[in-house]
Amino acid sequence: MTDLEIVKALIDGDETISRQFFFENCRPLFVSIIKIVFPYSVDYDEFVNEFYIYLMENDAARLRQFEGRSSIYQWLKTVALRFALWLRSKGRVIDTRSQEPLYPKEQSSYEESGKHAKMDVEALLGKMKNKRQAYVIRRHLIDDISESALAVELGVKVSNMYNIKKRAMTALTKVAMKDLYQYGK
Amino acid sequence: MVNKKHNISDELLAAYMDGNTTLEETQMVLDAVAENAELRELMQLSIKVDEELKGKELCLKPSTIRTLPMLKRAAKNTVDNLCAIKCEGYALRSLGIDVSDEMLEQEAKKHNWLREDGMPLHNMGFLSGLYNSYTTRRFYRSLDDIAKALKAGKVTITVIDNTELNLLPLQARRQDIKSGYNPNHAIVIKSLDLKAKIIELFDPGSSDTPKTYPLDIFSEAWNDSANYLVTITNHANYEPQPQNLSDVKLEEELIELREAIAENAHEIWAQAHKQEGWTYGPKRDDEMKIDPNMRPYPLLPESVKKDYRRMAISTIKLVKKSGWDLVKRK
Repeated sequence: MTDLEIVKALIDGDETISRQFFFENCRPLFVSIIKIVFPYSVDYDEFVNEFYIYLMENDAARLRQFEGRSSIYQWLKTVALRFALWLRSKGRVIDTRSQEPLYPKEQSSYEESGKHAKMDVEALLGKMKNKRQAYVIRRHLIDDISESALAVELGVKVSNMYNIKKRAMTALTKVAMKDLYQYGK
Repeated sequence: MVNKKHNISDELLAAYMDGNTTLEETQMVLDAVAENAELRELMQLSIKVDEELKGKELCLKPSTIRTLPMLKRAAKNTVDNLCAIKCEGYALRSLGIDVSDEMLEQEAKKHNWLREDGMPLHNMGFLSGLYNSYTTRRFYRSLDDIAKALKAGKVTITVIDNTELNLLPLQARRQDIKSGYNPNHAIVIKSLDLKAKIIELFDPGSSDTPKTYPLDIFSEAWNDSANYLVTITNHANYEPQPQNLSDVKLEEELIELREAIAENAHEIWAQAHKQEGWTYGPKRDDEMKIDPNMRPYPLLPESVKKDYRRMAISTIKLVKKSGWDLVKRK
């Protein structure tokens, strides 16, 4: 099953797939989220039930927002983390739970400031310790090289590019946050 | 409060973490991280989760096969374990056959069709067969199939999770997701009104009168038995309908096993045939007990081999569909 097929089956209320997905496949992910987010004990079933309702309410509006721009793992981790944080804050709704499309491309001022963006990201890339990861981001984001072309350059399989890019982005994020804590914004 | 300009959706954030954002989007996320403490916490936790899961096998791809609850018990959580027998008793008497539930219970015990904790779904209908009724037992039936069976005058029995008749559909779904399917009660369907979206159910073991339920509630309860339907009639109208096994995919090694099963099935058939006095001849002759298939499997025509193979592959698939796995010993 592809990620989109899984999401479709969940939206359609396929109970076999829903049960496998939430209570078997996702268990390590949700257990980790519960452990990391909550300073107190939270029942797994209770968390998953709440999360399931959150995804499925209003005709599965939240689940329908999955567009396949990321892996289902990355998407679900992000949504579940936000949901867990919201639960922890006892009802304080995070703005990003809104069901509106949250990145209106046509209104973005960032498209006009590509040059500025390039400089900032490049500055962060210069601070990354792992030069290979910095190279991956530079080639992919700034030089706009396709994944397959980049895989050839790096001498790796295209199927491995997912993990390579993911690790590179994690490293970039860590550098950005470290930068922020050191110098402020 | 998140700055509107730096309002980062889950989709965008997840795409960023996977390295699937444009340069502008990446900058947008990084700016938002700089300005929004909640987002920073989220990113840190996200990285922490990844680190914790590193090295752990994480597969988010569910298997798509729903197994058939052939051996699940009807009547598992009722007062006695006789609901399936009472339904069949009701069906046979409706067809004019003079039989008591006690007689059926004895027959069921004699043939080991009834177990201590109820009757396996697949055994339902065998009792009716003893009384020369035409019985079908099918999974994955639709509401239209019920309507057709009722219109044809067939007595129609199904198995439901009777706890779900008291739940709203979404509650029933959540119960199934959490606890799994639980087909536990056989019941007679008296009537179905697809336009009014209601169904009339009769429980011979606990009630004298049928009760009406909304179709959506019944559908959730019925789903637990993989939409199992038993029809009983005294009309001869047998229509073969093997299980739909198209969703079962077999590993290469099991496909190889197909040929061995096919050949062995032929050997078993030929051995029994031989003991009855049949021999080989180019043309079938029932009086002389001559059969052109009384020869080794490799010499059989492709059309005959194909039938054996189809039987073999369906058998392997049905085993898997029923919830078992065939594991090769090393």
